[in-house]
Amino acid sequence: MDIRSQISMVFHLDKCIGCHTCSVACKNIWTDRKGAEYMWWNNVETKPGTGYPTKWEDQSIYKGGWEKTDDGIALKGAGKQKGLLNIFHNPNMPMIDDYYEPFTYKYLDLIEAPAGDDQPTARPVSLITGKPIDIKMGPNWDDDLSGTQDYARNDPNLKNLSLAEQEAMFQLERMAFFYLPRICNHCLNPACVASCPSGAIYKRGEDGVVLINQNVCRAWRMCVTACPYKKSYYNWNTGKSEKCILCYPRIEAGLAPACMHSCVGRIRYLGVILYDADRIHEVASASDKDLIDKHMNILMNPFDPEVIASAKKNGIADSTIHAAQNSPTYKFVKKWKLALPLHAEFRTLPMLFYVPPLLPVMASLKEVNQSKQNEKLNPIAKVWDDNWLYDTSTEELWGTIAQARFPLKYLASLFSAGDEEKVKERLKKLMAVRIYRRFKTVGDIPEKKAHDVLKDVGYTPEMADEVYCLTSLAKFDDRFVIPAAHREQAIEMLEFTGDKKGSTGFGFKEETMERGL
Amino acid sequence: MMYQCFIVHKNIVGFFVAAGLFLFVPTGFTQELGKEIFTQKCSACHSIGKGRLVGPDLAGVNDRRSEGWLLKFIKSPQAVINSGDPVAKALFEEFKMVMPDQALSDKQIRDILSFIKKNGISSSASTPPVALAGPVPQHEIELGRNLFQGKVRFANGGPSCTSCHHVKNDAVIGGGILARELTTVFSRMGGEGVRAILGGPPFPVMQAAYQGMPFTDDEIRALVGFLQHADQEHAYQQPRDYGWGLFGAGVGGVAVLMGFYCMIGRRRKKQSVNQDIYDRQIKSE
Amino acid sequence: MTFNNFLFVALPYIAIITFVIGSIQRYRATGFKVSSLSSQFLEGRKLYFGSMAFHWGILAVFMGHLITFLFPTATLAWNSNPVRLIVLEVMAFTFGLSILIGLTGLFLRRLSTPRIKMVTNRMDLIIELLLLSQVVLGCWIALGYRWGASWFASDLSPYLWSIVKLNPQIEAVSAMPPVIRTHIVGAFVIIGMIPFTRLMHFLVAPFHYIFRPLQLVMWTWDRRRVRDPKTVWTVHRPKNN
Repeated sequence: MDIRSQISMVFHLDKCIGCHTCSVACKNIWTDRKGAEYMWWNNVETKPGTGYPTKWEDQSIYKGGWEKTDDGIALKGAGKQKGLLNIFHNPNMPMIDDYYEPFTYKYLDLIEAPAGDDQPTARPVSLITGKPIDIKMGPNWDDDLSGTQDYARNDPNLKNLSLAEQEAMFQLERMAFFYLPRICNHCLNPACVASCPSGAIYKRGEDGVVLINQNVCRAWRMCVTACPYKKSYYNWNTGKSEKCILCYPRIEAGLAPACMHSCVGRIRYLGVILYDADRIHEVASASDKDLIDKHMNILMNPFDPEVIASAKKNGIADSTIHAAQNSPTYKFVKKWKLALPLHAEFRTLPMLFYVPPLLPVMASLKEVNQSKQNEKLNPIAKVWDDNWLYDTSTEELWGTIAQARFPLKYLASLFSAGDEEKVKERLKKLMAVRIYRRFKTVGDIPEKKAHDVLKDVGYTPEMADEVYCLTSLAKFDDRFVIPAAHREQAIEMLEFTGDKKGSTGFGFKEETMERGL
Repeated sequence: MMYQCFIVHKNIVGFFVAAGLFLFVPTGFTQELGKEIFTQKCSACHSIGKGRLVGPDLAGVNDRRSEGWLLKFIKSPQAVINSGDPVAKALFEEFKMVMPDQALSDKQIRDILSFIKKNGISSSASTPPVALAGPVPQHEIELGRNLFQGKVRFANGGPSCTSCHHVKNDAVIGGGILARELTTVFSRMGGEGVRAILGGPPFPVMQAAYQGMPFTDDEIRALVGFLQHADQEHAYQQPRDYGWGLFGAGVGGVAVLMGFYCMIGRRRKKQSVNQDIYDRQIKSE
Repeated sequence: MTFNNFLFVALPYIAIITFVIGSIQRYRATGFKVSSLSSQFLEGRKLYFGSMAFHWGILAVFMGHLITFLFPTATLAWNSNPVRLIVLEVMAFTFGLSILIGLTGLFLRRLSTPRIKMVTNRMDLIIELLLLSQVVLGCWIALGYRWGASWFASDLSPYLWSIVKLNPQIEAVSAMPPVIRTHIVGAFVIIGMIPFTRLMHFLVAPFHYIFRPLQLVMWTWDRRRVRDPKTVWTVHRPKNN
């Protein structure tokens, strides 16, 4: 057992309102520079939709992530052989046109244009060439466009759905969508690290943040291909790749990353999870069916004395173990089993988990008689002659999930490598908590029914209350449990602090030690 | 065509040979100086009383020309020819080539001349100018041919002659064209001349190539035999021309290579995933 | 004499010294900019044939020159068979043409694509033109002075070795035809310009990737290596008391 600590995240999709405040916070701090304009380390996608870059989930185009081989796993589009042979031209690399050409407007023309017959206009100019351009696409071009031909219907997750199911999804009256905020997953088995020919990308041992060393990056571009989430971006100006750094300067100072800090819906949770590094390869090579279970299995219980002892042996600080015990992410992922990783089939073992959205699923339709309602309407009003209605009732316990207006197959292809049962299980728990809380607050549900529902999903009333508290009431310190970075102790590896004692500046300066693996 | 450059620059060539040699001449000796320099620098092309080789027989040259003329000519034959000297011009007409410039001091030239004077008197100048080329045994021609094009390596590891020289002969592949074509070298220089050049190459490029790996006597005999044979037979030979052949092969090769690139890259991402959307959009210009 | 001395004695040493010191200095001072500065992100269609043809061609041709320089006798032995010699020469010329096509394509792409123009600096154009003329000369030599594989091994390899051995012998090179001499001078000029151009990226070619484990974990500080307060110091001893 080789216990390491990892900063992990949980995004509660039911709470995301798609306001993009996270994206803006991130952009303002990190990517508002030349060459980085098109980068969205944090972005929010509308699902169903094609995402950013377009169709990033379709690995037949981008060849990202790992694929299972006879004896383990191999990178799909990079790796030692493919990476070096394709180093002169990366055949699967996304180009600027797969994102969009960054642009701005010549705002000054509005005030400085000479007087004339026409209104002055601010022409759009490219941020690459500086020339006027026709804007062809921009950030979040597909925002809220669920159902459109170009975006929603090209969603790669639809390929497992039958045509009839797809059509049903996109009927105007039944249409639903949800938001999927994405940042770098800071994976346990990062494909970007494995693909980097220069060895510029590395995972920090202390907190698992995956970083690109800008001084070592040589623009071989393999990480852009290898990352199946397309969260490694190439800066065309500096000739270096860049990616989300999980605001490590903030984390080390005990602050939440900017995107999480600014989150309006308070959907984001951040905390430490202890994991067993010895079994990473084994888990990543598991069959599609076992991937998620095995992934959950290497996330270790921070209360287990054996795990604690092993963690201490590895030098994990007590404060970090303590943070792991209070971690909100551990609760969501392991204790309550509410969250799932995004696209586990890419086999990078992402450490950003999502609580699947219940709302678009639960708000299903059933046949109702609307004739009475229609009679009340003005005779010239348009009358809907179908008998469909959104259903938020709790009459049938799990029926609404099974007949969801949003096919479970779609959610399963996003969150559980195609296994509908796993998504259904999570959604049932969400619903159970909801019913239980309705019994407590509204009171229109009998107590027995509420308790039966909880028992059915394996929750106790106390657990349900905990879920409710962390989901709805959680304060800042409950959502972000950030361990101390203990940089002050790092000095002990480099020099004996006793040497400096009493010398107050009169001691010898010694070379600092190189970073090691 | 290209080797014209080589000829034009032969004077520079000779200059540097001489300069190079000069650097290596130990300065301590006096007695045998003339003989030493003569064997090193002159004997490849000139004999004393043994008939003409590449250049004229030098026996009695002291009597034929004035010392002043000789000093000037040996230092820079090209300069003398250019100055319109009739004797030098006549020599050029007769031998069809210009002797390389020699970086020798007046004293060294005098040493050489005195050496020639002494030896010119003592030896009988009655030898016929060029030994008649007798028939060469077939196996020797064969060996010479193989040595020439490298099928048989030289014993001391020198490069094959085809590296730089061409010979018009069906049996060998087209030789290089860095240096002179050798098809008629036998009639130009005679067996002795060729032998002398092979024994101690006076041209710097050749000298560098065979530095420390001289030809053996057998090899020289075989090569001379082959060159003699090639000279006699060249009128009947129609070897293939490599100039365009090589070019054609390269173009064909690069076509194959491009085809290969096409094939290995056929699954590459060729256009933007958004191309459909872009194509549909209205363009302002 | 003096001019040839400059071209074939002084220039090579100047070039090599500039290359070595300049590269180290550039790496240490502005290591951030030591990158292949790929422009594939901005333009990929024209790049494919240009880059593939150029890089694989120059790799093959460079290896050819390098092997002939390092192992002249082995090259001569290989060339002793006329068929092998012709095959080698045709291959070399083929890859030479491949460079020519690729580099021309890349150069035109650099000039004609507005996006690529934005990431082009003056040195990129200079070095591309230099390389282009060098390749043209190389192809010319391959055709006009054929069997270069042999005479390179017997004439230029000794010259290059004499440079390495600090005892330059320039008689043979100075007697070479002007085209070949220009090619040699061009090569040294390019070597000397490496630290000032994007050619730096071939010095950081990622061969170490083959040997390293795929995953890379770095510790800012490794607690396992930090002194255990209960034991005596093990990592290193106190120095000043």
